[in-house]
Amino acid sequence: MKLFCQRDHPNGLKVLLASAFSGNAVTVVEDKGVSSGAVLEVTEGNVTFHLHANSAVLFLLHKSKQDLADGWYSQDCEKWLEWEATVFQPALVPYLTSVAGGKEDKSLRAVMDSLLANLYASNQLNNKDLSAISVVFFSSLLPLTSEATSLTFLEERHPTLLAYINTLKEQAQYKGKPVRATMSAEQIKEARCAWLQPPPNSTVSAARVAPVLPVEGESNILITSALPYVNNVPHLGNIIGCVLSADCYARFCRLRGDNTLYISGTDEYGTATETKAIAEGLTPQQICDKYHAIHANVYKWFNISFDHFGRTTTEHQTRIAQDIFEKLDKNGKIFKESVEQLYCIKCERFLADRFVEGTCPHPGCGYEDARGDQCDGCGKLINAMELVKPRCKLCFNLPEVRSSNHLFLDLPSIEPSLKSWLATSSKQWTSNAKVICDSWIRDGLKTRCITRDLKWGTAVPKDGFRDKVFYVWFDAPIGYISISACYTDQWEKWWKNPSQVQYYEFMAKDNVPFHSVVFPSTQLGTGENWTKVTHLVATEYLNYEDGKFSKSRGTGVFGDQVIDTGIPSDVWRFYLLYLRPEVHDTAFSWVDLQTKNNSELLNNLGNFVHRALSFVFKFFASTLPPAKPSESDYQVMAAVNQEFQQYTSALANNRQRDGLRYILSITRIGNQYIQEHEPYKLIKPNRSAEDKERGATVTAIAINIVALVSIILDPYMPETSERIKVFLNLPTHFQRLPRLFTQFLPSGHVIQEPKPLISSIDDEVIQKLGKQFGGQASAEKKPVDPSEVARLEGLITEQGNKVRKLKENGTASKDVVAAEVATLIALKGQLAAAQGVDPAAASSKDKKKKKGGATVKAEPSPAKTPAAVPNGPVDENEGDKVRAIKARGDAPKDEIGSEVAKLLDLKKQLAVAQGIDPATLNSKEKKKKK
Amino acid sequence: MEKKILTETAKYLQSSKVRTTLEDNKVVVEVGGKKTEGFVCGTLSLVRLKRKELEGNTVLEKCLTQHWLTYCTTDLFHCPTFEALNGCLQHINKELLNRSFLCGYAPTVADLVVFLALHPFMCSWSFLQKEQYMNISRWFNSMQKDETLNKTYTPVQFSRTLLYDTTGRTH
Repeated sequence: MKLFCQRDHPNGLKVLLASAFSGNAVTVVEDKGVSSGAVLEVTEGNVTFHLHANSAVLFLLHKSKQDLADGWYSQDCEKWLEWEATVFQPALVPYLTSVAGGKEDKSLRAVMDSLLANLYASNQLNNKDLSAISVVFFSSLLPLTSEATSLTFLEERHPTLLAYINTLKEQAQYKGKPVRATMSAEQIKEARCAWLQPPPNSTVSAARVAPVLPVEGESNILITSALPYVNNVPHLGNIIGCVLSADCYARFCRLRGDNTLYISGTDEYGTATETKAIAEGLTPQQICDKYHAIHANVYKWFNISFDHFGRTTTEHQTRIAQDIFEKLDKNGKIFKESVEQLYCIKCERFLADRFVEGTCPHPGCGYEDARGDQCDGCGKLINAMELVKPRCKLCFNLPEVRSSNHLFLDLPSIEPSLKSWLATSSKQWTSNAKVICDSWIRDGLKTRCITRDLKWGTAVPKDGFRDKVFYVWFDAPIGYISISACYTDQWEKWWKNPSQVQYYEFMAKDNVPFHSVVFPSTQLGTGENWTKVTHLVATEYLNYEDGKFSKSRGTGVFGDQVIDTGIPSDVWRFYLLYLRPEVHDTAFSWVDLQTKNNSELLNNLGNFVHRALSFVFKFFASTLPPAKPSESDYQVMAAVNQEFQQYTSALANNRQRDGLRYILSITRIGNQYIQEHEPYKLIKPNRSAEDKERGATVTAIAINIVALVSIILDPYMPETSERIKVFLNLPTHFQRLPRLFTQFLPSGHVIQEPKPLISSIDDEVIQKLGKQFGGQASAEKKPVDPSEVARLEGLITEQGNKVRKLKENGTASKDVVAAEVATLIALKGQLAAAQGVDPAAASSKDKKKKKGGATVKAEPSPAKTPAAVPNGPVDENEGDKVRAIKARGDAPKDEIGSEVAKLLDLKKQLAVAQGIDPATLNSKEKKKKK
Repeated sequence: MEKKILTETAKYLQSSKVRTTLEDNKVVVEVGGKKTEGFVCGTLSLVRLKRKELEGNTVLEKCLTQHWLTYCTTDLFHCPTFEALNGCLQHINKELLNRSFLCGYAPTVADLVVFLALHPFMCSWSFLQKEQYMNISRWFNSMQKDETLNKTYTPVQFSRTLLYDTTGRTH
């Protein structure tokens, strides 16, 4: 009999359990396309029949070769099997999908709740003896226990049911039955050959020798990750989106023996740095130095294996960017156009996008604090010139309109060559990258302004433009090249060598347009033979718990805080790569982090490695015993090989999540192998010589599986991988990716005393971290000292007046004002802390208030009730929704109307919670609308 | 759908005093005071009462009967689109490739139920469609030769011309 089933499908488990109980062997064939997860093929008299899982269970048990307990089959049994297939499954599957997607669907949960209650009330599961019902329901309920959310749900609502599943899990028949595909004779033969012939002892060293350069005819991989912007600390989403994904791939390529260069650095030019510098009262250079160090530190902690982590504010950057520009100019790809722009007479500068604010010009919005490039109120893009009542962001003065000459990159003239390049190159890109790029190309390329009236940037080397700098998006990708130039003076071997170099770019999806269209066009426009991206690998977004990472709201975990959590960087790497948003957005959750650490890392991987190592250490005096594998051992090796080959192909194609799951499958096979044979019993003194030999064989094979795991774990958990290699004394020539599982360690090889690899994460720690990083939503109120609050409020009023006066006078130098503003901000922070409010949260509330139209600039906000807190995100979500609906433009009026009403209502609630009279809010809003 | 088919099945089995009702969207069969819930169990209870052999004789046949009845209520009866229905038909067509009936060499209640479900569609099929699902057509043709079915349900024409018949080819 053959079982066609999808990997890990509960319906497959039903049939396998029934097969184990009944002694009817089935051959497992993995088949992704099989309907309803599993089908049993039965052949009788040359005719084949197919049975779905529940009927297959009945069939196998009816045909049992072993005596089964009475009552395994009953009239009731048919009823419950029908219920399981027609009522329970249709509710369970979407529920599990919602849980696995990171967003538990509450209505499905309610349905599940009542179904589970029904099931339990039926008393059918009270019997611990084998029955068709227990086999079927155990299998379909089991997936609920593997996801944190659904497990908590079971714990809270149906503890008895959970206890039932756990008791069954302990029964011998339910565990220790390896659920793996049956291996073919060829696969077993291949495994035997590979085991008997370990690769010869080569002298290849695993150490990297700088500089790594491409070698003709070999595999040369150039990897860059999107340059993180310097003005902020990266959060977990940034880390998994580019540097960590790129690192995982770079490590894999090095493991494979490719010539691999991994380059990244901080992107330092642009308006955001300038505004940040003004806010912190430092020079742009000081800001860059400060944050570059923070970034470098975070990535070092994460063990990101850059060959060079540089920055864009270097001489190489200036030289190469200017050189590229001059070539473009020479080829006629650059032209000049006069642009009308806002100019602030007082600050003596043109106001680039973010230096100007005003009232949104879009009809129906009228939001008062719209930025020069985009309105936060309606989300629409704005041309700074269109702002109603524009004002300089620094001095609040009315700017005047002046015309200024700018340089444009003539993308339309490059479009034909870009298109023909894309046709061949974009095939290997991730699908989201292809889609985004296609949508840009479809709309037709427009000329793009590549200069800005700023000081902080790469100077434009052209007469008439020498006081301007390049736009950061023209400049930044050139950073990849200039950072490579800082790494080696032979950088052109990488960058002007497209026939020999495979170039991988890693980024989150928001960066795709500039990497897929603008940067390649720049390269093509020079007419030189640049190495252009061959594999553009873009990820979706990682969300935090149920929302977005937000610095201003203090939600989410940021690079520097990660270090203080006490959770090792390898566990962070493991969990982030486990969650890597490859196809959909995924959500980070503390509880899930804990579950994955304790179940997958500790109980599965850590447990297997530690057991195998300590067997050798304890029972064989640290020396590997000789192995005499039997047919069944080769079967296990073939199963390991199958997972290992899938690991290799998954990583080669940057399916990094899958790659990690294949490692965990290998350790699972290892655990089952030990469980099945119990070598610790076989080698007891009172056992026969045969048993002892068998125990030695199992131990030797297990330790070699550990060796394989230590090698292939490196891209994911480099420290752990290194520790295992040290325990094993693994020879360096095995620290490359093998072709197949083999005898890495011969008999007589001596290992070291193992120590536990992974520690468990307790509930307490997780609760604490959840609270600490939950932002406003779960910020706890600290005791408030009224006198301290009063004192600080006084100081702030004073400081606020001082600042206003300085600004009104207009005589004070900018630096002085900036310094005073900084003091004011610091005081506000202290006040917030004294009031027991998270400072970040406090500032965001200030912003909220501005949205409401209040003219607060520097006054301290009166102590707000923490009740205001949860409304923040809600309000914003609703706002987004309304905006999205309006933007779609296809929603019926009623829908918009009702959503708007909801938004207004939420705003009102927020205002009440913040202690503002909703009536005044309303009147302000009305005014705005006029 | 379940209720309609169950009522028709009861009629076919000439079970008198059968009541089929819907409770909470679930079909319930009541025979001689005994209630059975669910389409699969309801159908089986009728068959066991009236014509045991229609459940199948061997264990395999019985399990297959149960499998097909479940398939009807999870898939076939509730196709949301024509594509889904075509998927089901392709599946049934494939299963009938190397045997006369769904569960082997003799008709069972599974055949009856699928027949009842497909009859309205088959009536409107063009010859082209019938030819596309060749095995279903062959199976359907032999099913409708059953005396009771022949009397109750409009026979569906399968041979396009007499010429086909003389060559001995049936669809």
